[in-house]
Amino acid sequence: MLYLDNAATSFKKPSRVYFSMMKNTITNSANSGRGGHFYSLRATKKIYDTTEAICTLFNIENPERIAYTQNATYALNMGILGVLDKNSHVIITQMEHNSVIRPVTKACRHSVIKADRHGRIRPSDILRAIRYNTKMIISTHASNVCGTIMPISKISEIAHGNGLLFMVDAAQTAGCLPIDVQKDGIDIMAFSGHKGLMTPMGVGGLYVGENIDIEPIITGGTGSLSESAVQPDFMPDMLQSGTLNAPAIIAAKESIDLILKETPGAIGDKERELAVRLIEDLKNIDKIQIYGLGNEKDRNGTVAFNVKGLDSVMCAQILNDEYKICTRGGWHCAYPAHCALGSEKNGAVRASFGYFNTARDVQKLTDAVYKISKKFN
Amino acid sequence: MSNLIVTAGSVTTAIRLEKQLSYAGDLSAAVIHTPPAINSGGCSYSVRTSLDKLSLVKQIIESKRIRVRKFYIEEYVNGERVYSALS
Ligand SMILES: Cc1ncc(COP(=O)(O)O)c(C=O)c1O
Repeated sequence: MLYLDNAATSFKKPSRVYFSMMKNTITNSANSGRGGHFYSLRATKKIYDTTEAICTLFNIENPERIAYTQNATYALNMGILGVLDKNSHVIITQMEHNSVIRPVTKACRHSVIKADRHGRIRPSDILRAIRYNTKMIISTHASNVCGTIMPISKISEIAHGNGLLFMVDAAQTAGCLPIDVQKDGIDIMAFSGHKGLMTPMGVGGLYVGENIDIEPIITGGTGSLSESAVQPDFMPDMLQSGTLNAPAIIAAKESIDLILKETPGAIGDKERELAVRLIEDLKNIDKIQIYGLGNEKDRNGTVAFNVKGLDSVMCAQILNDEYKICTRGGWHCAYPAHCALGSEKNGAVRASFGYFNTARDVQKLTDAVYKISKKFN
Repeated sequence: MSNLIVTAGSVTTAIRLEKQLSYAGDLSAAVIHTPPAINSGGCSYSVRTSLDKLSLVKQIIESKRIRVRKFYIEEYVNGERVYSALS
């Protein structure tokens, strides 16, 4: 099978991640932060090593400001529902994933900044959406549908210029785009481990900047202040209740170290090149509709397209059944983004490149799409 | 020989301090579960190191802005561990 669904999760991981996962399942499965015995402390120290690597990757000064979660969705819910209340107003973009849209809808009133056919927003539109009770602006770092990268530094300037918090959903970019929470002016950031960071599943996290008022939405055992019925008010314990997935978090250090060595910029460039190559190839085929940007700089390794006259889910099914290629059809948990791109009726086929993909994979997909388009037109 | 015990709320804070101390050459620093005698409010974690590292500890806490709670001296008196707060 050819795997081209890296925007959902990176299926293949660097082999040292598997070895570490296996080794640490055996040797470091004691409960981190519970008690003071050798095994618990050893697991905690190993987890902390991963946290330090994450800090290096995102230029986070204080490792205590990162709380582990099982994925980006949990982190986003924690950041959104923990900061906003019923009286708040929040601004999001049209390119958000349901893991932003749904908690925001649950939390308070929100305004959506419209995106154009390429998935781009105009930061100046944000200014007009700010109200007296706006508390936060949330933006995905890159669209999970078409790979358009959002101008997060500009959005951050607007947020901070108006006394607002800025939260970034880095699910699609952590590990494959440079992220510097200080330079980019990010107050809160949710990330997945299992996508671009190539960690085992069950790893995600929330970064919360210093002095940001956040309430935990999940409370419980933290291994600290056990006599108190009230959740600790210090990070990361405040946001990190329950047993951590120690072997997976520890194994995450292996892939993050690899990413640090190769740099997220270089990895992202390679994935982007594959996406651009695919777009160029698909353009030569009749009856193909491509969504989003072409070879512009502000795109990543995700491409959305349709074979005209063929439903996207059906097309992805044929790619799977007849060509052994894994893509994803449908609406990708981001219906408003499809509305912006013009693919709201049938969704789109999404091919998303990852660390292990090569130009040959682009060729295979192009050949398959060519044959499908011939058959259906 | 007397020990210094620095209490912290979170195990992550304690490990952070321990690591920073080891980077600064104090390899004897170790995270421990806070001894009950000095523990108010249930479980917490501390860093134990030798008392002569006090100024290094304070310097690291300040430069890295590590939020610790209190400082204690741990001594062995008649084979028992005795704790006193450091003001
Ligand atoms: C932009 C975006 N945000 C959030 C998520 C949720 O990530 P997770 O699967 O780690 O919960 C996804 C997943 O596809 C995503 O693409």
